[in-house]
Amino acid sequence: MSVPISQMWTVATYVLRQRLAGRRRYPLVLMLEPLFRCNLACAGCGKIQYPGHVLRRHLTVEQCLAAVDECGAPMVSIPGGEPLMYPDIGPLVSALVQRRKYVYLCTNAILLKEKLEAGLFAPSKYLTFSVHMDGLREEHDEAVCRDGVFDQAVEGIREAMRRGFRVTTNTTLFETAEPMRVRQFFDAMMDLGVEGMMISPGYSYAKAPDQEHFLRRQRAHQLFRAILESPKRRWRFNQSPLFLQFLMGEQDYDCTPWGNPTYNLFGWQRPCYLLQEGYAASFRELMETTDWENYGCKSGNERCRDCMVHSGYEATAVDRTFGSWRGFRDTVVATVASRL
Amino acid sequence: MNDEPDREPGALLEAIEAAFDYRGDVTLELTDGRRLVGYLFNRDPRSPEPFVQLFERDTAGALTIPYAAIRTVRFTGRDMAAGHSYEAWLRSRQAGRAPDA
Repeated sequence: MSVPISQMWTVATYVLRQRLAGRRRYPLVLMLEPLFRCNLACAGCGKIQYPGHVLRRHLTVEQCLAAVDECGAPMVSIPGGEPLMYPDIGPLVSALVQRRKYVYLCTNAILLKEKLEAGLFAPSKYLTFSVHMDGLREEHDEAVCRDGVFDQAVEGIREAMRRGFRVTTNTTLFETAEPMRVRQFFDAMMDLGVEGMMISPGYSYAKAPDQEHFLRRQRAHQLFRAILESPKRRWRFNQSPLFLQFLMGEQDYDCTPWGNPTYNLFGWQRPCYLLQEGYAASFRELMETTDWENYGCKSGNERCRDCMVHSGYEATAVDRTFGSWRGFRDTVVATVASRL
Repeated sequence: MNDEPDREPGALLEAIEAAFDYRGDVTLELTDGRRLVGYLFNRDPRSPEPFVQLFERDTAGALTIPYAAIRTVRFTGRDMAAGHSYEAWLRSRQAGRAPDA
């Protein structure tokens, strides 16, 4: 696991505080979407299919910060849309870093070099560029439906690392993934020098153009076992080892959709980052009026049945790690033994 | 959708649900005769006073409109989720590579 000690400590003490306060449901990572506009139209993405006048809108920095303050999660992930197209991304990130939030700026990195050269960001332990990389050149360019994006992303990653920024990769795997190619991709990212990698199976967005290649649960376990069963010692993952074990079918978790609440132009999204069943006006309203029992694979909800996405299950894994001795022991063993 | 008002409560509820799921603009004809064109991004049928929320095409803020004020819902904008961009991209990619094959 490649998460820095200070970040781990922040998360651990936060989870323990929630536990001691008797909070069963608490947010871990705020998914803050300041805009839906993107400079790509990836086949597996269901986030950007809106009329032009909606895509041209964005949240104000004040709206973003009010959401961050109300939510209180120690980590803020900024997806979108492409956050580097958000006109106030520099001031937003700066304000979040001042608040000591661990920020994951999720980008396709097409604009990363340009924005870094413009001096929009300053290196900080609180800021990580989480670069979308769905595989080696051929797989990635196919996933994002445009040739040349892999090379642009690599250029952006190199520039960010050269300037002293934390950089991780974020990889979504689909039915078509070949384990050997994914392993080669992990090697390539380690050679590149990124701090760590994040992986997740894709979610079958109802509005995504490509509906055929999403992973079903059994197939996902097989795939992740084939990829991760004999992990190389040099591979570093910026996520919980228990979540990786869950992907391999070695842990039985249910979803914690409240763990990664989502705030965007429309409000607080019910119930999670992936399903859109409505919007609450405040975080409190979201937590108090959402029928949480209706979600997660054990609820019987058809749309949750095959979902194993990190926005739903990573918070579960982290809760187990810092909320139980067994979870903590399993995490330590997995980390020390480099056995996922 | 036709121009008949969605008078049956069930028909209006169904139309609003469909509009919420639709990734294009809709036109709401209100009981006071006004027409609103925009993207319906939220609805709450369980609220004490059920409402929809809409971004009008040409204005900045969001509007909140009670169900009781809505006469009809029409799907007048293009569905941005329709189409097959993945297949189209694969076709164009294959076409672009054909000379090397």
